[in-house]
Amino acid sequence: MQERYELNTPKINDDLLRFPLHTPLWFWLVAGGLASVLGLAGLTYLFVLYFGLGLLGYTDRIMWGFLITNFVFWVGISHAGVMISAILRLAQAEWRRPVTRAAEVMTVFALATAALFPVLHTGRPWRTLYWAFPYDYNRGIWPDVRSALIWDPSAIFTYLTSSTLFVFICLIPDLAVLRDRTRGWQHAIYAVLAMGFQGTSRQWKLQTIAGILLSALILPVFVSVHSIVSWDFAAAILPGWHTTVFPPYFVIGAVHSGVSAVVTLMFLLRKVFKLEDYITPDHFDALGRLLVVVATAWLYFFLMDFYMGMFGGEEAELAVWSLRMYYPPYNVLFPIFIITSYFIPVPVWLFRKFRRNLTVMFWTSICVNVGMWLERFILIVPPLSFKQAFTFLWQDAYSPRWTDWILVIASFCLVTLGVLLFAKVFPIIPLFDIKEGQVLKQELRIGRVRVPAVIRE
Amino acid sequence: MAEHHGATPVTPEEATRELLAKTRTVSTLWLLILGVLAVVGLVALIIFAMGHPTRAQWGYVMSVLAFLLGATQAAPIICFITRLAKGYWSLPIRRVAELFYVTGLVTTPLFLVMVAQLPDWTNRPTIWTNWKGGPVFYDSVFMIGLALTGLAMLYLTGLPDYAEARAMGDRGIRARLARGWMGTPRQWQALNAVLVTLGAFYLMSYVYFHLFITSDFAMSLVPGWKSSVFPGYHALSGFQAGLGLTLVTAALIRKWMHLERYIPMDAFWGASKLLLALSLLFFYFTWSELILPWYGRQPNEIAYLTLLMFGPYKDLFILSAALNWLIPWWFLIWNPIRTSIAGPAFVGAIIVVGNLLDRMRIYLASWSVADVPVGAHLDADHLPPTTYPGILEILIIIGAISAVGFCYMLAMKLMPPVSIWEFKTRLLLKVERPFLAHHEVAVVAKPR
Amino acid sequence: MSETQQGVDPARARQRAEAYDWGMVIDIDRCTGCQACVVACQAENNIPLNEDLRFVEKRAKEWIRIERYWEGEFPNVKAGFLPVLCQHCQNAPCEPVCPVYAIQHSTDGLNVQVYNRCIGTRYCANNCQWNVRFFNWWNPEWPEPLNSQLNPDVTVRSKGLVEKCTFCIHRINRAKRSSVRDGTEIRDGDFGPACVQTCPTDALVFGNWKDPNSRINRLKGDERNYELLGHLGTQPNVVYLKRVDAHPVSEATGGEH
Repeated sequence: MQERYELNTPKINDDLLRFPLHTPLWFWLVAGGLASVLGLAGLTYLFVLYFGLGLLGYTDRIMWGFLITNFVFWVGISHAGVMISAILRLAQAEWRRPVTRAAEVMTVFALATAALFPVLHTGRPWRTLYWAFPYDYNRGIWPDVRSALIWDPSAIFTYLTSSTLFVFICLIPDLAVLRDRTRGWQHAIYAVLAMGFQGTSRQWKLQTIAGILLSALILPVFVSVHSIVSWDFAAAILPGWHTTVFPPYFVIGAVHSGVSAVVTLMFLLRKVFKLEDYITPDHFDALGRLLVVVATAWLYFFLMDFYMGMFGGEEAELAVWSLRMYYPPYNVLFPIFIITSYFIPVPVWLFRKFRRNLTVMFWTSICVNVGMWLERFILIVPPLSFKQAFTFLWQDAYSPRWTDWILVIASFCLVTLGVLLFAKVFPIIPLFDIKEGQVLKQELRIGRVRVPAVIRE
Repeated sequence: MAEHHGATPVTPEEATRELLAKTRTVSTLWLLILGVLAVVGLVALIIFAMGHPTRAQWGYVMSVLAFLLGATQAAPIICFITRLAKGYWSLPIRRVAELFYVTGLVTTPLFLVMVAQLPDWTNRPTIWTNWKGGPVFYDSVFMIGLALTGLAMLYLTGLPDYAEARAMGDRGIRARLARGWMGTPRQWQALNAVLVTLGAFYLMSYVYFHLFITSDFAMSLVPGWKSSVFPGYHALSGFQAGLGLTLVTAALIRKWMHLERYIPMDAFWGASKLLLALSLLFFYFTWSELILPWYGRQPNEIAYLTLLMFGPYKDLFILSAALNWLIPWWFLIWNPIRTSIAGPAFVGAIIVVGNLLDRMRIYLASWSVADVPVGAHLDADHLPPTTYPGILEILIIIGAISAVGFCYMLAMKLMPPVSIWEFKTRLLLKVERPFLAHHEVAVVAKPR
Repeated sequence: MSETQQGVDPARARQRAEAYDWGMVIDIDRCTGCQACVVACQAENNIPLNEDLRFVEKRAKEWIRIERYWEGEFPNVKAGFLPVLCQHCQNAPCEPVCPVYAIQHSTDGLNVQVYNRCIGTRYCANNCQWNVRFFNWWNPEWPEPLNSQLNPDVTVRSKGLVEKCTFCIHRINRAKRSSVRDGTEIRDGDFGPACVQTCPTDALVFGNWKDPNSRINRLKGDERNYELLGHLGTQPNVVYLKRVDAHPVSEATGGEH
């Protein structure tokens, strides 16, 4: 038997624990910068609470705008975690190893950020916070389960809880390593969190089984969360929203946008933390191939929405589609969206040379997310502008105000800050996963060629 | 542990000889039976057509066509998907799935018959918006294209095996089909590239073809039925039935041709996980299609929902949901069932039957409405009654399925039931090795 | 038997509650587009002032609005007027989508907005296809002396709530209370919402669909009747009567007539 370790355990521990254990200057600067943007957003929101939602860009037709677009966008990004961790774990894909925890952490923070926005955009958020929960608060009135907006908190919080548990369970062995390498108050905290993990075979077995079970159980949640968010729109009767393809369309769009965000994240992690040994072009290659398939499936569902809109021939729905494609400002946004979501990235990703070029992968992944944010906006706002054939009321444009922009930008800062703080306290690349990958790594000779191989149980 | 994963060791030469010999053991009796049933079905179709049946009765012929366009036409897609994702578990059953490419020979003529039965397109919605001849022309072009692509794929995947036969001394048709195949590295690279490209083309054509089938043959016929998830649902449930059919066929062929050494439980285990996912997706798509019109509460939505799910075809709907989702899900969540051969095969059989019933529900419902005056709205209180089959319809259904089986068995006389070249690849890619002190593990190569 | 101040017979109260199904008939042929109904509604229901800015930013609140559609080419141009208000649909799309049950359907056929329950998600406003639901983007302000004009029978809504036409439910309630107190029955035409009261051409008619002799039931029999967006199946309580044009200026008109 040949054991090949390119990375040995001490080196893995050193490399991946460097950031949690030592704090560079740039961390304070970046965290400070992000926190100040968040502070500004908090102040903005206080203005909104005091003066009213009139500070945002809504009109009497377009009552849902940037904030809801942003909500759907972040729920979408959060699907990357499950895609990569659970599905790839169950499919036993080796290339997932460095990526899983970062994807999962991005999921948790993206979801938490997303969950804020439906609360922020309501007229009386102090009441939303408790009336949306399943309890009658001595009034005898429960929330109305007929409304899709009530399914949202259930779905999102289920996903949030299970993702957090998933992150935590996969974190336990690494917490044990951190416990063993720190002293003082840090040691005490890690010791509590590590829950006495010593690495005995029974503990490893339980940890593995828990991870696999959670992977399998989180899959239905993964499909249902974005489907439920899609039903916020599809269960309404607006032409342009009321279409049965929304659930799979949203879920696939979420995977597309989320996995692209993971590519962005991996590039940044590799650069910032100097993890060239762990995050290799192989990983970007594999992610790129996955993205081609996912993006093409997304395009299929988008085309189904489009074809069936044309197919019905209803005046109202055709009017919405022509608004989306021919009227300003959507006549500019629509081609940008379709090109950046699919027609730039996918042809690029078809070529191995580009998939293995990290800069290309980084910029195409950002391109995708720009397109997907626009996609949500184009999906949500035009049907509100037109609805039925009361042409007297048709309003073409939604004009976002400074408050809209600040809140949206702050959401990006919030997720980034969350992931950064997590990476400061816990290793962002799972140590034990990498070590396991090294142990399972093999090589076969087929003829004169040495082919990489892996042990399968 | 390692034992139940791999096949009993066999050398490549032994495998080649044995598998080629299997082509001579194709049962002539069954070939005859299937052939006779196919001819009976054809005669029944002619008699049926001459009897000027109502459009509702044509619904039965349409359902068997849609069934074949799903189950048999989609069965080979598993090969492309696993080839792309480097999922080697499917290697033993790829040939069993690929042989279903022959279905194009049966579905194309049947399709041309059915396309002639479509009603006048004035005032009917169609995605071929400008040209009313669209459904007849474009849909037929796609059908023929899909069938031809499939036959090309069938030939290409068998090419190395024909060369093996020629090397073993065969002088007949197989030697001629082998043409210039020498097995050079360049030829292998080209073959893999072509199989992936054509496979992708086949998959995309299949998926879009189902858009045309569902919009032109089902949704256009029911006023007010416009469901954007329905084409995806139709394509996906077709693929689910295809995988189920592959598993049933693989289990039967394994048993009847004594192929235990070549088709291990691994293949069924891998497929059963995918089948479980597909069964859940069936539920997901059906649920989406049900809940949204139900929420919309518009009269046309309630009408078509009643027609398709809660009215004259309610029993078929319940049966189809049970056979396509509930029962497969209940069986496949248990690991002992997944890690067996009979389990996934049995579930596959249930899904195949469920798929046929589901197609009957869809096409009987939509074709029974086609006689409503164009431009009228469907009324939930005045829906057409359930159409029951006559003896001719039953014979046509049996005949069409037998025709595919007949072509399949004919193809089996030419191509071995387990593809020799893929079996040899598997031997190269998977070895047993000792690990640590007392264990042996399977090591699987993952070429870049 | 008449009720006294000491108590109301519950059976009689229930019978009274189920005796009403309030609705309107709007005769477009009679509507001159004068907007008196809009002003009356604004005055009666303490609707915030619609300054220029509100129209520019498309946030003007008009619980009843007059839609104006131009027909024909210059110089043969005509305007068509369509008053649109809450249709009080029996099968309202706005009702099942509220997450907190802030929208109820009363036993007398009204679609009722419960202000103190509303959390302002605006899903109901999105789902209403007649665009008759309005959101309070700001706290309303009435500069002196306009605040003296506020109607004490009607709540002033704070920011963050959705509001819409209530068929002047305060007037309905007053009519019902008076009939109980005085022991009389409510007769058709006794009272109506502010818009109906003000309309100079009698284009707006209010009444009880359950009263077979009410004026709206008689008007509904006119062959010109239709429902606005009736194909949606929401069963609106408002019926429109088409305009008959003796001298049409164009074949097609933009909007519903």
